[in-house]
Amino acid sequence: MIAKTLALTLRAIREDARLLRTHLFRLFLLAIIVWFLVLTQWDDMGVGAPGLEFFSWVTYLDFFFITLAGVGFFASAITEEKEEMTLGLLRMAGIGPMALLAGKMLPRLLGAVLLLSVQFPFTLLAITLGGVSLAQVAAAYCTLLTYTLMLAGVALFCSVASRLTKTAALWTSVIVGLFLFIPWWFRNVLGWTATGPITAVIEDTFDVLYQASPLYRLGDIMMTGYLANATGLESRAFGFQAMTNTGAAVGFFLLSWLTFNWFNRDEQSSSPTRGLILRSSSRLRRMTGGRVWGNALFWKDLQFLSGGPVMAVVKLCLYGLVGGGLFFTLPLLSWMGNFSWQEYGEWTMSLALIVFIVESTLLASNVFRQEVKWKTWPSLVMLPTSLVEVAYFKIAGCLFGLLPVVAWFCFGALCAPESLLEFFDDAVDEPFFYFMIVHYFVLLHLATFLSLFVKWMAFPLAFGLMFMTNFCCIATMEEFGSRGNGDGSAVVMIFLGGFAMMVLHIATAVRLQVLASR
Amino acid sequence: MSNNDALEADTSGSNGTAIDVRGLSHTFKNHRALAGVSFQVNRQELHGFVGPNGAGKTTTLKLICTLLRPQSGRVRVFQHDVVREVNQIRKRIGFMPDHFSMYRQMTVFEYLDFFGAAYGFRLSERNRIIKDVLELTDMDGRKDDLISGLSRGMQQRVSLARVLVNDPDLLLLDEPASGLDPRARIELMEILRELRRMGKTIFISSHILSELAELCDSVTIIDRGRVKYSGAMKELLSRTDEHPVYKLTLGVESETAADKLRAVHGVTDVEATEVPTEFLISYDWTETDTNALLAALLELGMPIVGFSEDRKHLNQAFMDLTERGVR
Repeated sequence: MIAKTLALTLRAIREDARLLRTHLFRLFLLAIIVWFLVLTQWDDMGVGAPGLEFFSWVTYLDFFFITLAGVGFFASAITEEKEEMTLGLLRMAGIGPMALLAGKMLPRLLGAVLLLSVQFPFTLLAITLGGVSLAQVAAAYCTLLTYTLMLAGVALFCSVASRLTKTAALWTSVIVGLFLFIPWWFRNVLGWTATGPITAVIEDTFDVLYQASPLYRLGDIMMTGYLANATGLESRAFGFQAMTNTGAAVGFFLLSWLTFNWFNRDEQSSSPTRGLILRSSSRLRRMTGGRVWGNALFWKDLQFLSGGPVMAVVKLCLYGLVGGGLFFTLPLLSWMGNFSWQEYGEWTMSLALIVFIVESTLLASNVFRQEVKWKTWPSLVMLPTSLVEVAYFKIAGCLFGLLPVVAWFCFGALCAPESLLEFFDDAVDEPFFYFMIVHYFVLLHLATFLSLFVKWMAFPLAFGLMFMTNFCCIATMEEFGSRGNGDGSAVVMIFLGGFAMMVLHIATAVRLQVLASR
Repeated sequence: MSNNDALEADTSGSNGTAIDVRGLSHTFKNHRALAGVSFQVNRQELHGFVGPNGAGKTTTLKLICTLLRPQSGRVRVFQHDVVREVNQIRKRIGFMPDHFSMYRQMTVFEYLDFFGAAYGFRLSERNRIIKDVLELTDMDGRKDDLISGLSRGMQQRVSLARVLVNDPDLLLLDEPASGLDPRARIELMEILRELRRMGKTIFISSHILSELAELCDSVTIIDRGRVKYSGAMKELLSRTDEHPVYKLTLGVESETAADKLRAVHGVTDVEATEVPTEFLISYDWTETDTNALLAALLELGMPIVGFSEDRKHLNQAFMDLTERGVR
């Protein structure tokens, strides 16, 4: 079994080592950390513990990146073989579930650990800067490593159970999201205290989950005087969180192994399915797309990428239910007794805006990816029309998928029109408002561009890169010249964003032309 | 005279030419895919483009169908330049790649309807076109099926139907028969014959010469980026040192059959096979041709149940023209 596991691992490591972009990515991450270090050293704002501040930023950046990129990275472990229809071949070669799981997961874990380990020597310099101890650095990396392990375990199980990477990634996001969000919500937002034996058990359970959360642990570690305040397990680098996260990782790995044959007994087609798109022979004819419209490209992506009219109705209902449900269960908003349409409208608009950004980025990362994946792009390029027209009509079709969230936002705006007007009144003179708009478009361009290179990680990668780059740029602007003047930084960033958008736009067009000829 | 002028002068007066490729070279990084490829394909002709794996067939096809830009040399399709007149060319050609590039979540009808609309046809026109291409490819009974649920042969038919949607004058087919079972291959060849009868020019690539021998009027053999032969199929057969070999199958066994066959004018050799009713007949193509030979054999009054070219002969011709080794 070890030989088979090693064979798979070595193949993956070799492939990884040959790809220039993986090395460039590590270099980019490292460069950002080194740059932060330089900025922190130059910083003379009178921060009491510059080392701790620098280390906090790096750690939370790592946590954010592991969560975002790790979901797609680990969730594709088994599904990539299913999608390529090679899982059956591997099994016919005598590779058992355990060797397969270990062989597919090990190189991914090594890649993630490598990302963390390359930065470790540089973060040790935070100790020299002051405000942070070696114990804190060790505990933080222990937390990140064990969290990575747990994330890998959860994603591996989802990958075993799902047919497609996107489904596996979605389930991983839901499980990890609930794990991080629910205990925090229970303790900090709901503020629920036990009133009886059953509720006490519930409270204890959420308390354990809260302490197992890497967010809670990192918060503890980053406190000044961490070691002096910590007791028992908390004082060790490998504390309660590390133990539970490692335990969960092992548990999910074993669960993946035990259920592997059950989930993957029969080979399944990886062809895309119609989802909720009804056929013309369906009884609900009015809800089908009908005959192809004059603008065929627009029709196709409206139907098959955005999901069509049925999906639009489902989305609208879902947004209403989830948004409304969250609003009415959050006592933080203190609606009880004095429900306010304005508060509800503000809540709806905020949530709709977040969903809009996420959904549009997802669509941007899929608009050309699906054509490339299923090798249909050359057929479209061969049409007697320009590449630009093909691309823009496809994008227009995708925009239909955003109609439900736009409608939901509009509903929020109708509930609280004054708040919306007030927001625009305030924002119109703020360069930061335009900065956000420009950088949202950069994000869309980046997601589209990356999707032409990577198989499934364009969305989290674009988010991660944008976050890190913006963070780094803003910190630099603050340091040089425009300190105390945030507007100056925002204006510079708007121009930089505009330039980046233009470069990405051209690069995407060139790449699309290249892909058509492959 | 510059190289381009010379090319221009060369192409003048070639109105009967569907594809005109001159001095085409193309390099991918350090790999030279094409090195001075030149050939012509006449209109309403079925032209085979044959070569071993890695010979440069797909690269040439992509250059002809405007998916790649030539690095040097010139490609003209119906007198249109592939660099400057892309849209004029795209309106008149249909390209079927060597892989299944289909929207598998669509039904057959939706798929064809989509491409019909993408080519700018109105609804009524699309109905007629889809009906016609489905009939031609014998897929009218499966029009409401999802493409993902079709067999490979069926998907290939749908792919061909898609190529025909815009009623192209020139069909560029990249290894259309690869991966198909014998029945599906034969049926595909029948469809291609029908299309030729309809006046289409068909450019079909394959790595098996014998597969195209009965189908094609002309052939270009390419190996390692260089054209080894381009011209009529018949002429290719005559170029080889060996005489053409035909397999004759009789309905009954006959002890005197071999002697009778040897006496036919032009026959140079008759060889009995392991099957008692089968004979391999070689003939001198300068003395006679296939039709005259068959007529002479029929005159002998023997019960002939089969007469076909022996594929080994064509395979030998292919082996002689191409080099050993896989690229």
